[in-house]
Amino acid sequence: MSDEAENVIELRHITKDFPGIRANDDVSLTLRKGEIHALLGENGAGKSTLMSILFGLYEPTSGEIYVRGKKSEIKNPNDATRLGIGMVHQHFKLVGCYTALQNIILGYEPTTKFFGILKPKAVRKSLEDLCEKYHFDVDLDEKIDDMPVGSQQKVEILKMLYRKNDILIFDEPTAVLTPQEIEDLMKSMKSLAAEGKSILFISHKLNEIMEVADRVTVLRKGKCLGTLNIKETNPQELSRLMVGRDVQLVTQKQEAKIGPDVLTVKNLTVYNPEKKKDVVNNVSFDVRQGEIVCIAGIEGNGQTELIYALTGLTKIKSGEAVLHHVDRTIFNNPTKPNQKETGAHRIWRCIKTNVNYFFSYIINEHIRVFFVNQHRFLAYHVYSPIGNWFRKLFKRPISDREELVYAEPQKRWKTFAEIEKEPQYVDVHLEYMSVRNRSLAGISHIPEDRQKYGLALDFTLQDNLVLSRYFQNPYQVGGFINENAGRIYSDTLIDKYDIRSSLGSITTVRSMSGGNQQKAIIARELDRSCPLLIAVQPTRGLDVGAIEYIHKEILKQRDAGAGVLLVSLELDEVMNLSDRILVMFNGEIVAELDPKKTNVNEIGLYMSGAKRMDLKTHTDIETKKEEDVNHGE
Amino acid sequence: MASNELNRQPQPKKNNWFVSFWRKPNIQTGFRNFISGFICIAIGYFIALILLLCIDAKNAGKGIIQLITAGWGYGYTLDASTQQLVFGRISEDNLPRIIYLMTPMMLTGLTIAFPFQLGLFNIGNTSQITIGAFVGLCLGIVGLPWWACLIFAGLAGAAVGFIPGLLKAKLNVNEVLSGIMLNWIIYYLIDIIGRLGLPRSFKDRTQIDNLIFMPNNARMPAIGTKGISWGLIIAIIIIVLFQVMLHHTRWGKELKLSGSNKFCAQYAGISQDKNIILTLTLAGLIGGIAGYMIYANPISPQAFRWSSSANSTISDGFTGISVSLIAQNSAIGCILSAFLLNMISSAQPYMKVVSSSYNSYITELLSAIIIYIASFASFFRYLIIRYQGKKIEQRNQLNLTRAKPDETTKEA
Repeated sequence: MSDEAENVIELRHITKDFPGIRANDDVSLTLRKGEIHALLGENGAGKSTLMSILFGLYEPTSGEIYVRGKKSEIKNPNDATRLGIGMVHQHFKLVGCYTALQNIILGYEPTTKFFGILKPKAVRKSLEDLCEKYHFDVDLDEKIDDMPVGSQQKVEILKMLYRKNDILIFDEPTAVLTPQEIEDLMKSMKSLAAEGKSILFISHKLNEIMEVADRVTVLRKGKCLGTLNIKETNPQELSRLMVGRDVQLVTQKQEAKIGPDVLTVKNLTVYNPEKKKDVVNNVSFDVRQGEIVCIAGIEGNGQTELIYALTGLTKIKSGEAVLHHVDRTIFNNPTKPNQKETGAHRIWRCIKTNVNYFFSYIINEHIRVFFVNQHRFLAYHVYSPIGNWFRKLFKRPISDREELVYAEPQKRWKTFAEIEKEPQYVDVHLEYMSVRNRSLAGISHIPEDRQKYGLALDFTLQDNLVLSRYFQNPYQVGGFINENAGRIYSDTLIDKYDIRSSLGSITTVRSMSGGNQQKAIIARELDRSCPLLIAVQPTRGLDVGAIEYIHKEILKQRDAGAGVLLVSLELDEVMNLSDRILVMFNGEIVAELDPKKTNVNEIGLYMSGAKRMDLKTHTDIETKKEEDVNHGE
Repeated sequence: MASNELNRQPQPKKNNWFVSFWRKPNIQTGFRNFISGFICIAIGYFIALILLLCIDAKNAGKGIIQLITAGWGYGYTLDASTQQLVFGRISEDNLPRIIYLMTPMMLTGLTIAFPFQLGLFNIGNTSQITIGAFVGLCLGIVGLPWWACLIFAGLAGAAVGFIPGLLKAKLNVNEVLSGIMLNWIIYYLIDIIGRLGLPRSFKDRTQIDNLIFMPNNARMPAIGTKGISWGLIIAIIIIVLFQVMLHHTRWGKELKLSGSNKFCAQYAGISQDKNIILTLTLAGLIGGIAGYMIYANPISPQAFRWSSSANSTISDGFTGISVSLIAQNSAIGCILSAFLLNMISSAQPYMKVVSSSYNSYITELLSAIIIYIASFASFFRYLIIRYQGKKIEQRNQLNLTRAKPDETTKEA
């Protein structure tokens, strides 16, 4: 880039205030023609706000914007588009039920002069030419909902190109893409820049910035720390500027101290009626104490459904999942978590057991006996015919307290003395338990979609942090919520886990940034110290500092003896954190690998289905397919 | 100054009890609901004023005042001697009449407002009201005291409310569809039972298709002589109970969570099926009690007429929708909203007095306009939030503290 290259965009001393917070503090930025300029910063540093100002979604409190040398006022996205600025958001602004073509021309429809009738054919040719030019493999007549995420992003880019935008802004473009799609995007960005379009992209992924950008501007807490040339810097320096201290990019972890099994999954099958197939097909694995097991795989191969089946959000078609060493007394009274079992509890349990025996063994001769582990107790489930019918009709047991597994097979009435002698720690079958009981038994779940499952966006931060415990005794007494206890707890969590929000405990979660939302979920789940932690993409959308913190927390849980089941799309995270890698392809586990002995390429081959492994012998199976194996997007 | 502690967020100064009470999210939401409802009502009256000006400009001022005050018993009458409109007391019975009409309407509004927290539109409340009225009336004629009739009417309504709940929870049948169909089913079922099943003594000799009025033992006991009954106290207690339950108990929080984000509620362990069934059953309980109260007033009750003849009971539940809409789906708001609607409709006979060109149905028009504008109330709420946001911004303008560049994230 020569120094005579004009500055296509100049932001001078932009300041933006929101109620309670100064999002951008005197930020100045220049963008040259034909360059790829990266904007780097932690979550909450003000990058998205700055770009929203450039795109017209916000107006700056003070400061000026110069586009191609002329001072401009950008009041709304239409002004921005007229100036040639276009933006691809992190959460795409596409209409799901429209086709790609309809989305691209939405707002800029080619119409006849009178009556405004649409003429999509006129632009179809030009769009197809654009697709060919940049090697976008997009079917213009496919609905957005049916497209993979990478193609959706290409539709967003086409939207900008159709509006003849020269200045393209990408907000965290790679957060939702698979590794192959990321490579595609990098190629597209380089070819767009080579044509003369200027690209601004927001990211916190240092390796991508190093690969594709020409210059990088670092923001921290709303202030601009300067603009650097990529060739003159390195990831360590950038992360130090971004976070303010030295960041370990590769987490150090101790040797795993592996204990007995925590979770055993055998022949789990989950059926999806919309896709009409078994999305999880006969999966078996186990997770031991003190171990991090990571399930790697391209998105859409059944990991999501597997986790939903384990945590109770989907029904299991067949198979079983057993959680070991569960304290049975929790289920006596969930509102009082640390209560010891009293005589009254035992009497009630005695009554329930004998009634269950009466209805099941005396009335119904069919008993399903089920062996968990020959060295341990026998586990069984007993259902009367009415109970079986009920269960089949409504697909659940009659009462959710009857799901527990008891130690000995019951062939006669149990006296009170025998009930007293029953062990406190049993193995429970998860497939018959409700979601609440599963989390009480000791599963904490960090969900994949934090806005859909993890948080109630219209509620306060306090309500969300207390969500795992609101039914227990300090936070609700006799049915009435105790707000003070909840406030104290959420304040401690906010301090401990450094969750940033504009108003503290009473912030509406919707207004928090994505990284802080994820931190809130992680704070809530990790504080429970459960024996099994299921984390699905815990670091999605987070920056280097937060990733480091979360990795440290997960390792802390592991070192304290919990078993961790991690599902991640980022292969560096997989290699970094896990003690054992399971690769999932097409709903089945195709490989079990040791991260010390394998590398990213080999995992990629298993992920794309090119290789399979026989799990018992750990040797490769010849794939019998004759057609070309799908190598991913 | 310990600047390390004031690192991240501005530390507010300790507020007094009123300010900390006022700033609670629940209180703020209720306040915004009330103000936005009030704005809707004010706009409705303003449009009515414009209408009155168009019809007869000279008496428009008096007309609008008549609309506001006639419900309370004061208004303009034509003085015979001077042929002028004089402001004075026009009726002693208006206010008690409003109160006794308001009693069942409050509960009807609650049958819509309460399931709405879960996102359910309980339009089958007509069936619950009708069956409650029918069961209450029959048991009253048989000879049970009023509190037994009340309970059984409520249970009948609950049983009928259970059906759409079960269908929605287990088979995902839209509660609007099953509710409306159930309305008609109960309507005709009562017709059949009435024609074929009831003994002669139940029916009114003078008018066909009417049941006799509720016998005295089954009427609710009265407060004073004007027709206010204990039903008012019961209704207010029920509404206050529901308000407290929704905002202060664990179950209420679960309901609000399920209504706001059902996936998050499922993730938190809340059983959606159980909540849907329980909510609609409770709404049915309230509907049954409301139905009983319509016909059990101590003075001047209504008569229960069933189908084939012109019957208005099929639309009894729809007034609940208007009550709930003006009340912004809050339980306490139903009290005020029912009062408002009855206050407006009780001004009906007094409009002709002000000017002969005023049609008495201007009151119905005013109600309709207010209900129509009440659907825009969320926009007014947005304006209020923006206004409050600006004030907070002004207040915080001087207090902006962000961490200095070198004091950053906590050491992990």
